[in-house]
Amino acid sequence: MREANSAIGITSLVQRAQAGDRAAFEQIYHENVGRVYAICLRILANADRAQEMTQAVFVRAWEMLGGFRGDSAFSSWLYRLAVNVVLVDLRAKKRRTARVMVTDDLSVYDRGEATPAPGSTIDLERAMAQLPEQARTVFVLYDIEGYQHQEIAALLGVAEGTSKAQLHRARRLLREILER
Amino acid sequence: MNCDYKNFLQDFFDGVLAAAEHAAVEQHLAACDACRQELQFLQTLRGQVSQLPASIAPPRNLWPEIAARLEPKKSLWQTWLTDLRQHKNGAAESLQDLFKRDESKSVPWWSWGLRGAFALAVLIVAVGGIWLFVQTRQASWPVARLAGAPQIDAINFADAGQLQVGEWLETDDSSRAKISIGMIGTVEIAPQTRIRLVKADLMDHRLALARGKLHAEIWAPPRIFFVETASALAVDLGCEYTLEMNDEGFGFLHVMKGYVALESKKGPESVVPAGALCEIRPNLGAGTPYSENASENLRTALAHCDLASDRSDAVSTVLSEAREADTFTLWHLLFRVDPTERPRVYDRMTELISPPAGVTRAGILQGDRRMLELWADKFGLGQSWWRYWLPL
Repeated sequence: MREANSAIGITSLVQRAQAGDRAAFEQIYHENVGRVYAICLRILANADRAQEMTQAVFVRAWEMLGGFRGDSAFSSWLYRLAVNVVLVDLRAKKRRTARVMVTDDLSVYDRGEATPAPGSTIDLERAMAQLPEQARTVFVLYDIEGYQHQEIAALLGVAEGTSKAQLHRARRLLREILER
Repeated sequence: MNCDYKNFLQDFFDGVLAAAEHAAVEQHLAACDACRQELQFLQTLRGQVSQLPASIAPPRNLWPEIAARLEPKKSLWQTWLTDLRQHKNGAAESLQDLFKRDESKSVPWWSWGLRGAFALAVLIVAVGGIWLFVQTRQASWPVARLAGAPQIDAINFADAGQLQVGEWLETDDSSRAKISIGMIGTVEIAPQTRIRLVKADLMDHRLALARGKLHAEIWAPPRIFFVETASALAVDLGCEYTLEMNDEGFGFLHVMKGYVALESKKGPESVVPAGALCEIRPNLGAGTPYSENASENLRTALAHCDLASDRSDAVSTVLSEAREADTFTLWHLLFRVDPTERPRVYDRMTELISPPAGVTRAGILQGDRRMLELWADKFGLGQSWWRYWLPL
């Protein structure tokens, strides 16, 4: 019942936001910003860029709200949009710089904990941040976000086999990093 | 980790291996410490991933900056009007640009000639475009809805639709559809299938199966109907067959009548006769085909052979399990096993079906094509007439 109420609540918020109600959209922002930021941060491994992209995702969502017809859950629509916005930016950046980005600030994963316990999720977040960009992106999309290789391949503009190879590479590298 | 199975371990972990391969890796795990450790790591990793928080709070409130960038919403009418104005202005500007200079100058004779040539070029392009459009419109196949609500390019159609070149036909878990392949046959599309019409030429009828299952009945000469998949190309040699593929590029071919050739850049070609099956794998292309009545031991051992060419124990199992009806499997295996194993495969083949006159041991072991074809004719890979169509 609570879930149903929550679904009705988000539908009503979305309808109000579609009609131009900023207060409703602000509420949508507060309810989803953590999830969107997590997606951006895990793919980009850079806190500043993740914040920029989170902003870009919500601006884009506002622009595209009219196209949301309720065929899927709004949250799914928003998180897919987040992935698209981040990947489009990555591709554009790659074209501009033509070099691989490596994170420079692993403290973004500390989240206020004093000393992370070995084997904790903090270790995993830090290890993921050290992966090469494409391997990390595929790992986040496949193992965390639940995308299929076919979807990832289409999003990244690569062959399905490449997506799979990058996933295998990411897992192998994670083992090396975590067992170091 | 230097183990032949390392490339398959992650697929095993992700649960995307076919049953026989799954069983082969499972068997291997019992004997390989390194693979067991790798699998244990993957399981631990999955556990840690499931513990990751779904949300991470950003270090500051991003809303004020977002709010400052939000444009007020326009009504549809306003949006359309703005677009129209921009389009109209843009068009007017470009036209003005085109003729602006001429207003202030006298027009040289060649300029009119140039304009005439330009107009002619535009006319040719326009006529060509219309012709191409008409041709493309014709390059389509009728689709009949058999159940549920199949879609062409994400749009539902009533009882009959038309699949154009480049369009996708997709069925959900309760939909089925039937495509008429020009004048040469039909393809029935099972639920949960995604397929695209690639070509509808007279001599090249081509579909691309992204995932799902199809059943094809073709009555055309060989090499006119093709199905592309992520891992292999199925070439019709006049037949009836079922082809199934998953999202990972693993698949399965079952031939009911005639023959199908499976070609791939990733591995050797397989010719699959009626009553036989063939597995398709993303890293290897077509596997070694086998009879639908082949023993379970033979199938599992064959999967071992396909995954690693130097598996002497697996080759032994295949050879001991093979019956006369499995000779075509050994024929395919000849050039898939390690060269040192080849004589053993040949010897077992001769025990099952003696080679015809003109076929020698040395010739077969050296891969003499004529001798291989002569022998194949004898054990049921059909008469070699169809193989002349193949670019072997």
